[in-house]
Amino acid sequence: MIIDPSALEAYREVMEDEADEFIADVLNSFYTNARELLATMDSALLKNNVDEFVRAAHTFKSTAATVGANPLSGLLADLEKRGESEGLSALKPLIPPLKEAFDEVEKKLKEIFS
Amino acid sequence: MINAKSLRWHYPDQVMRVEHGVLLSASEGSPFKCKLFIPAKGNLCQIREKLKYNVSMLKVLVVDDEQVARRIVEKTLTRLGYEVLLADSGEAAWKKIQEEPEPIRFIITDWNMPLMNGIQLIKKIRAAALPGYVYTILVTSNSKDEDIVKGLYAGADDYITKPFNPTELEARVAVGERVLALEDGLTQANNQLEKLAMVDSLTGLLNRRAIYKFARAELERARRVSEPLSVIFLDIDQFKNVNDQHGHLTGDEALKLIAQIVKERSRAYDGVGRWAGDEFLVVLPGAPENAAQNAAKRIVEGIALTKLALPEGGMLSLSASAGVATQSKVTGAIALLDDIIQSADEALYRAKEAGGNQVTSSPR
Repeated sequence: MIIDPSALEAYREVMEDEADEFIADVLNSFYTNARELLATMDSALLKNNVDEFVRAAHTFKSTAATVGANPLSGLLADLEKRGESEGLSALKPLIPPLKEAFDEVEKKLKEIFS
Repeated sequence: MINAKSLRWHYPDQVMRVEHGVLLSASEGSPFKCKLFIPAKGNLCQIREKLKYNVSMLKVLVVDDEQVARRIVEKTLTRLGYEVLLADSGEAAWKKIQEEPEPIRFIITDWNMPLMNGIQLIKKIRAAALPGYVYTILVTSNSKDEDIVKGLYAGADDYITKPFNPTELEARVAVGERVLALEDGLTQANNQLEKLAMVDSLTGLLNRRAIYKFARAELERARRVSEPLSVIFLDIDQFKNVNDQHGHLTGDEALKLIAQIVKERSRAYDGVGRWAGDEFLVVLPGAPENAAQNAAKRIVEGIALTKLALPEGGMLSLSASAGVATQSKVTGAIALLDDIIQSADEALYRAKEAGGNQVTSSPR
């Protein structure tokens, strides 16, 4: 399952009448944030800056889990771990699939919460 | 579920409406100031508590470098009725903690942040002498047991793992609120006890220990700034007769009345205490001998002018005598204080010998 809808649905109980507005707001900041983090990971790869790459992957990992994108989050956990242990050169081929996975997540989220 | 309708039922004379989860009251003399957030899942007791006393919203500082998580915690807590402050790094949080005029007592901080992380922030808070306890919740995606233990040992009060369930966050914040309320209760009780330990319960004046402490501190200050210090030792004339003829309750009333006169006729910065039985001590910082004499006369005259209404009918005239001692230049050590008080006591004795209702000064 690309998205576990219950992650965001859990907020309905607390947010009540503001739930839709809240979820839209969270998703918007997720999309913006995710793109920034992808860009940071790209530039960290170019500069071969392991710390920056690992940090961005870590943040992206928990942001993705927050919106219920668990497979994407798992992918990022793997990148975080391998970045630390293997360095960045081996990870380059994994970036295009990551971007594809994010695009799918965005599509699916927009489908579920529209 | 709490809403304006159910509250209206409990508080029928309150005019209230709800806007964006905020309860607004429009009525005069409302038990709450102007707005109250309605916890979506709070219980009615909690709400009542908040209504009975003026609402002061708990301020929570949320520290996270991750935007989405920060936004979620902010929105959830605001909705639940908390005032939320935000910081995007440990450094920014530390700055806020130091700069915020009203102390921040509740912090929810992410663990993993560049430079100062959540653990370092919490350690810094624990090491600093901040007014009041700061309750901290560590937010972590490191859900391994040993990490949690490490966080708690570093000084966190609780932890929550990301991504968290909003109702769990609500419950954990409520726990923290409860702990802070307990601490506030203890602090209040302590302050009350401290105050009680200094006050003479009958007259409301300082007790012997407290007036002695005051005198000692003022003597020390007088020495530092080369100023005089005077004391007045005052005793009610024939107080034994008041007790014998009218009973101890009337005696107590006489003591209360005289304490009030002594207090009223002293300067705001003088120390006024009940020394023992019907003896009072006034400590006058900076007062030279003639000023202290005048003050003593004012008090003695005031007492002679006042009459105590007796429960059995009729009025009782009272009078008192006072001895004044002044140390015009304080040079010696603390032992001097006992000498000054003794001199005033001796002067008082002479005033009594001369017939009472008068003031005598020590020739020191």
